[in-house]
This record gives sequence, structure tokens and C-alpha cells, in this order.
Amino acid sequence: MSFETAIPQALAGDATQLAGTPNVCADMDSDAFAGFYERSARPLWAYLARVSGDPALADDLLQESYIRFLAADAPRVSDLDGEVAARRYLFRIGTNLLRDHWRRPRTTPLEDLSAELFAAPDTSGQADTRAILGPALLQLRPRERQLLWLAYAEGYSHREIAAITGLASASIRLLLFRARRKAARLLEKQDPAAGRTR
Amino acid sequence: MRFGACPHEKEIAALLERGHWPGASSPETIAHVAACNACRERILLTQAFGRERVAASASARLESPGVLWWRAQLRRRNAAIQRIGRPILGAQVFAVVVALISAAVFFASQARQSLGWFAWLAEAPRSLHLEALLPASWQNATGAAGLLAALLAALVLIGGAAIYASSDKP
Repeated sequence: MSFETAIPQALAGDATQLAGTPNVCADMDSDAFAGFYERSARPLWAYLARVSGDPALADDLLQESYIRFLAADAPRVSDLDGEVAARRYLFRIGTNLLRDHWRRPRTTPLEDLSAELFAAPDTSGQADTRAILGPALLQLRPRERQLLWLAYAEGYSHREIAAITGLASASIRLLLFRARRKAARLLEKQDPAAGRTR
Repeated sequence: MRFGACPHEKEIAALLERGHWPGASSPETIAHVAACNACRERILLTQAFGRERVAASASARLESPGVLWWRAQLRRRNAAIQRIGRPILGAQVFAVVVALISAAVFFASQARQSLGWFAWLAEAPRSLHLEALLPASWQNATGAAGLLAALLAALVLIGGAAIYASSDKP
């Protein structure tokens, strides 16, 4: 069997090989992907940037999420449910990438650091994040920010959050309850007027 | 324990999702929220995170979808090639192992005759009038066997180097 015939066959075989992956991945061409990307990239970037607190990292993880999404399989966005499932799948990839990033050792060889880091401490993006997010939310742990973001910014159900984060569905309720308590307390402390519902 | 769950939870969530809170909410619902910690917290966080989501989405710097599409295709292609190459590599390893075992079995079965070969090899320089070129210690059966082993080792080394040089791996 030559590579010319074997590679397309192997690529076509991808769709059936990914057991456990939602069937959101078939028949997507570059135009369909461009549309899906336009609709889904900003919310995913917002999630990655606010949970990690690092816009540059969010840029990298966003790109990697889409590449893994496409490389794993070609998403089908012909119907609404397909797109909803595809978005959820994207968030799951992004969440896994964030977790991998946090688990990675923090030591970076000096040669790998960019010259800009030495030239000027340009943390304007970070400063923006902090200013908008508020010191209250930065006091939350990344896992808490993650759960709160998925629940209150994205509006995912406990079951969906469990699928995205890989946590047990039963523990989501408890973790979210604690995180909500903590975040609400912090927000009220930061802005006492916020406690009185607008 | 229901961890702060409230019977009005779904109603409040629907109001928030539609943007009907508090303008289009009933006075009973507003009164309930004033007295219910869980609902108050839910509203506070939904509004805070909603504002944050809008602000963050606006500041996103997005890569062109075409570039991502192209990179993904490249990665898929490389993964497919690797997947196809795996059984081929397995077959190559299997072939080498079978060849080595066959050679070992052959040489073991021919051990007696091989002593005769070495004797013939030891005689070869003399029959070719090359005695002056080789040391005297090489002109017996043991020396011939060593010479043959050295030649085989050199052949294996050169062959390995040639295969490594011809492969396109970095």
C-alpha cells in the first residue's frame, strides 16, 4: 500500500477511532471552521485568559485548543446541537491544556526567555485583567475561578461542567457552592453596593 | 444537604439569561431574592461574570482561522504518517530478528565445517602469495577467524551508518 492511498484512508479512519469523543467531528471544511471559530473563539479566549490570569498564555492555549480540536477530528457544525457539543469539547481541551500548564515545572531556561522580558516589564495585558476582574476574583484559586466561570459566565450545567473539567458530577455541586460563597463574600467586600442585588 | 439550592433557582437563572432581572421580574421574586442568600449570590456572580465575559471577549486577539486550519491539517497528516509507519517499523524489526536467528542457527549447524573454512581462509594468503603483507599471527585458523569477524563488524558498522545517513529523521 502506498502512502498516497494509505494516508487518506488513515485520515478517514479518525472519525471512528475516537471512542468517547462526542460525534461533533465530521464534514467540516475550512469555511465551516472559519464560521465556527468566529463564534466560539472569543468566549474560549475569555475563559482561558481570566482563569489563567495571563492573556499571552491564553493566546497560546487558544491556538493549541483549536489545532487539537481539528487534528483529533473534523467538527460538524451543521446543526445547533453539534455546535453546542463542539464548544463543550473545545472547553474540555482548553481545560486540559490549562491543567497541563499548571502541572508543568515552572523553571524556564534563560535562553528560552524572550528579549522583551528583559527590555521592559510590559504587563499591560495583565494589569488590564486585574483591573477588570477585580482583586476579589484574583484571590480565588484557579480551580474555583474555572468552576465559577463555566457556571456563571458560560452558563453550563453541573453535568456539563463535570464533563469539561473531568470532575465527578456529584462533587461539582459542593465545589461550586463553596466557590460561590467565597466569591460572593469577596465581591461584597470589594464593592458593598454589589451585595444589594441590582 | 443541597448546598444552597433554592426552589427558585431555575426561575432566577432563566430571568438572568433573558436579561429580565430585575426589570421584568415579579414583586414576589424580588422579595424572595432579598431574603434568599443563594439567589442573591447567584445574581451577583452571574452579573459580575457576565460583565467580565463581555470585557474579556472584546480584548481577545485572535489568530486567523486559515492558519489554524492549515496547522491542524499538517498535524493530522504527520500523525497519520506516524500511525502508518509504526507497523512498517515493527515488520522491519521482526525481519532483522528472524534474519539474526536464522544466521545463528545456520552458523551453529555449520560449526564443524566452519573450522575447515577458517583453515581454507588461513591458506588463502599463501595461495595468493600475500604472506608478506599479513602478520604471521594472522596466517592460522584463529587469525583468519578474527579477520573474518573484523570484516563482518566493519560491514555492519558501515551498513548501519549508511542506513542512518539515508533516513530522514532529524
